[in-house]
Amino acid sequence: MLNLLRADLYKLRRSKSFYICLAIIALVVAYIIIDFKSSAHMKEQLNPSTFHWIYMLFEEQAFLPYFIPALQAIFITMLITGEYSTGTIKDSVSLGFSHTKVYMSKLITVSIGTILMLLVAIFTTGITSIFVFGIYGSFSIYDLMLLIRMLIIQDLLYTAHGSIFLMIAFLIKNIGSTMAVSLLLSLVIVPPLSTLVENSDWGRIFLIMNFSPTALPHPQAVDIRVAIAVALSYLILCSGIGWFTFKKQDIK
Amino acid sequence: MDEYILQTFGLTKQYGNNTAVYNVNMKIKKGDIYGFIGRNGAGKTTTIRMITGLVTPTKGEIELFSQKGEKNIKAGRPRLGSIIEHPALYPDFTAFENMKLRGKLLGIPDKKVINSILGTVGLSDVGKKKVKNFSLGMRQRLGLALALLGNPDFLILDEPINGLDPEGIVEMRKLLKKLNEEQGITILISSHILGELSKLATRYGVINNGTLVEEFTDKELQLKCRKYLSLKVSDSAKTSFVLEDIFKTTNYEVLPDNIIKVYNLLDMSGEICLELAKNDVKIYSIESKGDDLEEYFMKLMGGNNHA
Repeated sequence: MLNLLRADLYKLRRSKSFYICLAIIALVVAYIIIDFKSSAHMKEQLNPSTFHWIYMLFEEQAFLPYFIPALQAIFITMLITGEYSTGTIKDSVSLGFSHTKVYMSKLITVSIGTILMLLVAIFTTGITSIFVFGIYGSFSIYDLMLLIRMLIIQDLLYTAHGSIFLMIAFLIKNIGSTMAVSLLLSLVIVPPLSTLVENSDWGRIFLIMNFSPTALPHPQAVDIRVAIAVALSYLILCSGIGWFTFKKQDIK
Repeated sequence: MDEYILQTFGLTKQYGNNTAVYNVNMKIKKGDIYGFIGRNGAGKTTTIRMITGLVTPTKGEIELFSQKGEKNIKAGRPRLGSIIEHPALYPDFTAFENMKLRGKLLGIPDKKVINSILGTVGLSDVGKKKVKNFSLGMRQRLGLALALLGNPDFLILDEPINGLDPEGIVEMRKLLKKLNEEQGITILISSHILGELSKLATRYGVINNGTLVEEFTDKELQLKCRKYLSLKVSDSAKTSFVLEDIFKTTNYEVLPDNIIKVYNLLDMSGEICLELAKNDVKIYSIESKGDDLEEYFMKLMGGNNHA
C-alpha cells in the first residue's frame, strides 16, 4: 500500500495539470485580495487581523467552494482517467495490488492534492494581504490552532467533493467525458440545486452548503458535526460505488 | 517432477453471449520460452489478461508459481513482468522517470538497477527525451525494461516485436534468449509472426477461436514438420529390404496400403526408383511431402483464410 501511495504521489508531483491548477488558485486568490485594496481604509472593519483574510476567502460561498471543485475536477480527471488512456492503470493490478488498495491510494492522493490546493490558497492569501494591507492585528498560537482546525474540516469537505470526481473517473474512464461530466456537475447542476434548498434544513445535504458555516474561527459545534457527517457520507457512498465499479471492471 | 511456472485449468472468459476464451488448459514449465500463437482475435490477449489479473475469468482456475487461490496468486504477481498489447508508459515522463515510478511500485529505490536495465535494453543514452517522442521500437524496449525491473521469474510479452524494424527484431530475439539462458527467466511470448517465434520458442501453444488447439515442444514440432519421401509401391516388404540392404537406412515408416514414408534420402528419389525397379517392385507414386512451420501452424489455426 505504501509503495502504491509513493508511486501515486510521484505522479502527482510530476503532474503538469496539477501545477497549473495550483498556479491558477494562487493567481486568482492574489487578484481577489488586491481587488480589496480599494477598501484598504476599512481593512480593520473587514477583518480584525491580517490572519482573518484567510477566513474571509474560505467563507465566501460564491468563490472557493465553486472554484476549487472545478480545479479538482481537472486534476483528478487528468491523474486518474489519464491512466486509463495510457494503459498504466494495468501496472499496479498486474503487480498484484488489490483493487481496494489501488482505489484507496488514489483517494488519499486526491486528499493530499486537495490539502496542497488549500495550502496554496492560504499562503497566497496571507502573503498577498501582507503586501497589500501590511501586517496588523494580533496573532497567537491559539489562532493558528483554529486555522488548522478549519483547514482539516475544509479538506474533509473538499476530499468528499473529490471522491465524487474520483468515482466519475472510474465509472467513465474517458478523459473528455469525465471532465465534461465533472465540470457540468460542479459548475452547472449543483449550484442552482443548492440555491433552491438554501434556506431549508435539507440544504445541508449538499456539500457546497457546508463550506461557509465551517470556514470561521469559531464555527458552531452543530455546523462542524453536520459538515463532518455529510462529508463522511459522501466519501463512503462515492468511494463505495467507485471501488465496486473498479473491482468489477475488466482492465483493457 | 516438472516444475510448472503456470498452469491453467479450464480457463474461460465470456462477454455476454460471446465466448472469447474457452476451456484453456495451458502448461508452462520453468525455463520455457512459450510461443503463444494465434491469429488476431483468437483469444491470446484475453488469456494473458486473465493470467495477469486484469480480467476475471468466467470459469476456470490459474496456478501461478505452484500457487492457487486469489490471495496466493496476487502474492506471486510481483515475480511476473509483463507487456500487454502495448507498453503502458507515461508519455510526459522520461525513460528513467517511467522506470523510477515502477521502482516505487515495486519498492526498488536503487537508481543503479534502473540504469543497468536501461543499458541492457539499449536505452541508456536517451537522457531527458520524453517517452511521447520515442519511436515505437524505443517504446517496446522501454516496456521490456519496465517488465524486467524487479528481477521477474516469469515474463509475459504480448506481441513484443510489433512495430520493430528488422534490426530491432533481431536485437529483441537475442535479448530474450539471453535472459532465458543466462538468468533462467521463463517467457510467454504471444505473436502471430510465426517465423520469428519459431526461432525463439521451446514450447508452443496454438489458440484458435478461443480454444487452445494444441501444445507441443520445439522437438515435437520439428518431427511434425519434417520432410519425407512418400512411396506407394506394389510390395512394401521388398521395398523395406531395398531400403535397409542397399541404402542402409531404417529411418522409414511402413503404413497401410503399401505406403512408405522415408525420412532421409530426400534427394535420392531417382536412385530409389531404379533399385526398386531392379527388384521387381512397382512404384505407383513417389513424392516429397511435409509441412513447413508456417503451413503447419496455419492448419492448426484453422486454415489460410485468416492468415
